[in-house]
Amino acid sequence: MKNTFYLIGLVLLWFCPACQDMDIMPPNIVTDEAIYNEGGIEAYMAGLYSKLPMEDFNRTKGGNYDGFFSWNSGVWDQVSTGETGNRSNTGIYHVTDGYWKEGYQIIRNANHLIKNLPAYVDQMEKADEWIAEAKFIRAYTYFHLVKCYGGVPIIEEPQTLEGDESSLWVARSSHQECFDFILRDLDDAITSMPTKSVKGRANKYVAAAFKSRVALFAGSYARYGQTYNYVVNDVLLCGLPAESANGYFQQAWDAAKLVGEGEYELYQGNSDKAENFAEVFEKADVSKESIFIRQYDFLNYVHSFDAIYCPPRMTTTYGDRYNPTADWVELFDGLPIDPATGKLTPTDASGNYLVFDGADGLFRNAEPRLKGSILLPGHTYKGVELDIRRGIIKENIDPSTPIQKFVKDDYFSTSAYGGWFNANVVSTTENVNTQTPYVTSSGLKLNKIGMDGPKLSTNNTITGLHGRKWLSMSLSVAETKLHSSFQTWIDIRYAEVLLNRAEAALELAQNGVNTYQGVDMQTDAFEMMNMVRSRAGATLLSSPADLSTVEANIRGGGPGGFVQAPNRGLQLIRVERYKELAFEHKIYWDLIRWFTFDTQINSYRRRMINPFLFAKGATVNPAGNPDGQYIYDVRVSEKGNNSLTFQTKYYYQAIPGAELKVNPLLVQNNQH
Amino acid sequence: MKNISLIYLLLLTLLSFSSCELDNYDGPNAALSGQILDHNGNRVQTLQGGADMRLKLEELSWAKGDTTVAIIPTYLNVKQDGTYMNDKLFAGEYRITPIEGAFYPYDEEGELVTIKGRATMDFIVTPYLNVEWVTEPYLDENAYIRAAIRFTRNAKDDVAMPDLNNCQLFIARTKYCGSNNYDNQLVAAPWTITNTQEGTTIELITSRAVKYVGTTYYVRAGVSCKDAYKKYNYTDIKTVHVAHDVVLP
Repeated sequence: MKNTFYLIGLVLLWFCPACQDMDIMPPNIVTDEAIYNEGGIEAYMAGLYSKLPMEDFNRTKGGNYDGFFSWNSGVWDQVSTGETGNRSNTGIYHVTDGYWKEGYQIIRNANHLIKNLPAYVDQMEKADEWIAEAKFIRAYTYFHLVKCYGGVPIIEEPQTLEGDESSLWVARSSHQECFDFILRDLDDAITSMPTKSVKGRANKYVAAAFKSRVALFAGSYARYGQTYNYVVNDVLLCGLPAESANGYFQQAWDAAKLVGEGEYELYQGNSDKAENFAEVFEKADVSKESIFIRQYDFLNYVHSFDAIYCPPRMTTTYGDRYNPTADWVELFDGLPIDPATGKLTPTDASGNYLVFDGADGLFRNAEPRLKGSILLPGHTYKGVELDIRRGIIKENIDPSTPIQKFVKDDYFSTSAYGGWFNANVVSTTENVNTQTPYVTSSGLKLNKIGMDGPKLSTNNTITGLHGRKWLSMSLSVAETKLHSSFQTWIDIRYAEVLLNRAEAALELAQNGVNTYQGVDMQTDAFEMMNMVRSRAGATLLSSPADLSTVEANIRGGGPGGFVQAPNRGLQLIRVERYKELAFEHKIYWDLIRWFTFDTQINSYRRRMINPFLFAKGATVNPAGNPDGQYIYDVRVSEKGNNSLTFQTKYYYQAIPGAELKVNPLLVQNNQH
Repeated sequence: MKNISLIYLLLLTLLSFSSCELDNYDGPNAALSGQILDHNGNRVQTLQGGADMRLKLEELSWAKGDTTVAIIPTYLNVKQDGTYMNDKLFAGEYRITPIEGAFYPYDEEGELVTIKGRATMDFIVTPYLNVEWVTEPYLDENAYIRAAIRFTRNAKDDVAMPDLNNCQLFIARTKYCGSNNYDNQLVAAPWTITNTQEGTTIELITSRAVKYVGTTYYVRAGVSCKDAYKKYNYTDIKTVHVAHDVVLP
């Protein structure tokens, strides 16, 4: 009984400590006082930057953040544009990640600053600069939404729930209103931002560079997207009026020119133009070409690009999603390109293979930019000498023997090798690491297929090529693991701005605006192109007249024919973008805004380059790789050669169903 | 002590019942079937699955006329012969529209269909083209497959006729042949077709001999237009039997 008494006493005691005033602010809610001071706002802003929908190393298909911030970047949009192939995702990837709520969260946070900061202009230093920066962030986020969906709801102030939830519903504005809203925000940012900023943050010129991109998109939609315009209740939800095109191209040109007034320049730190091009990315932190970047940190913020995208021998896991296609390679200068077809044709006039010295023979005279963008066979990267070979031609065949091309290269034939090939070429489907080598009469052992592909049975490149752009060469093979890469991503670089300017100028010159701001547009486009080409080591255009309005080459009808354009001048500029901006998440959106995606990527099969080594005269070099004379067979990829077709309904993506449910004013896009 | 556990058990049992409310919404027990016909009353030849055309179903009755309720469409696939069937639908009012096929866009209003029990609904579309055999596929003396076709263009009021795109012979060793399943080594590149070829005989031949003897090849030809989808209008499927004693080159 006594115990029960104590027990009751103890229970009663429980109620005592609760008696305290609970009227305190929840500590997980940030108050205005915490934000509106120098340190607070910097932290707040850093949070916004880290959430920006930047298509960087962590861009992904789907994922927890609707296409962003995932280590698993194994599928990227470059597999859809003819830039790369990828053995485990051989189909086309239509970007449909349903990015919406993530974006509107950033917009809400930015709106919060834009609304409240004006009250602090007198109390806080640089408050107007912070407002401008918040507008840049809002514009950046809106632009991604507009790229995906066309017109979206414009929300300029943070919403609060007052009364009915219908007060939160906002209908979609027209595509043009959205573009104008973004451009206005960027104009404000350009006016009020300082000319310099710490790396990774915006400044006046970052905003201007971004504006050149946005306005170029707007102009292109107006000029090329009329077929896909979509009007609901008299609102042009998708597409812009055709007559507005020139105005936007002028804005793009103005903005690009403004960037030129800053201290940005094309990176030319290395006299070897191939290495120089690779360094644009490897030295992104110090290069003056980087305009807007996202930095990573080994301890705090990493990505897995190297682990996923290196050739298998250069990484401890994954690897090998980075297979540039022959269709992309043949856009470059300095290769044996047939002028009549534009195809990479390493054969002579009678269709016999040309013989090259060394594993990289085909690429020796290639445009330096290509050599800086891919890993070259026979060259050493991260301590591994790249070894690519589809087979060995038996010793009894002298390299001087004319060999007819094995299979047709007609963009379609997927035929297996046969005939002469079966009798005279040795290859193997064994695992590359345990393959039985071919033994010559002198006892020399030569691996039948390359340690780095192309893929027959062992997972490896499906195009006979490996990409280099972005790969970190300072990470050793053992260090190349998931979640341990931290090189910098460049979202906007000066070369893009120059190409934006060239494209805008030529669009104007070809559409009635010969002179703008006292500058001859045709000549301006020509000069910008040659600046980019000169740094790349490409063949220069000889005169502005090269950017002509004659008919563009069609595929199989001349150089650059893979990249569709309304005329030859614009084709040259578009090809330049393909070459300069490949693997940077840019071309996918270019094909969208040019509205050539569905005709260019239509029953398209990726092509490959298969190298074959002559056993006769071959040696083995100190790295253990065979060396000697090679021939190259260009054909439709043997593996992963799916027929790809871009579906027009993805010019404008479907608005996520969950958003349609919560906002009845939203109208779904056409074709969805 | 025993009582206490009993009370606990009783409480727990009581609690576990509290969430039971009868879900009285009928399960998906209604069925819809029918066919897709062209303007002449023939079934439209398509592909199996959703790769060619689909039916878009919007369930209207759940919202009970409330326009603030979003209606998210579901889609039905169509069979290769132009028929379709689904017997796991919720009963209700639907708006159904055939979409994404090689035919002129269907009226935006679609068709209002009340699905209850077993409903049937046929849709009449206007295909861009009618494609027919002139010479049915056969094996020539070199073991190539040859055929000849002819197409006629159809018009629809107030809609521009799309231009012709290309023509392809689809050959497979199963009856599911079409642009989503064919041997692309037998026929590689499609033939480019222009509008002026309407009504003329188009000769088709494989780019190499057949690969196997003692087997049946299923053959159909398709012609596509430069519309938003570039899907094919097909002929019906014919078979070419390759006997055991055929000598392959």
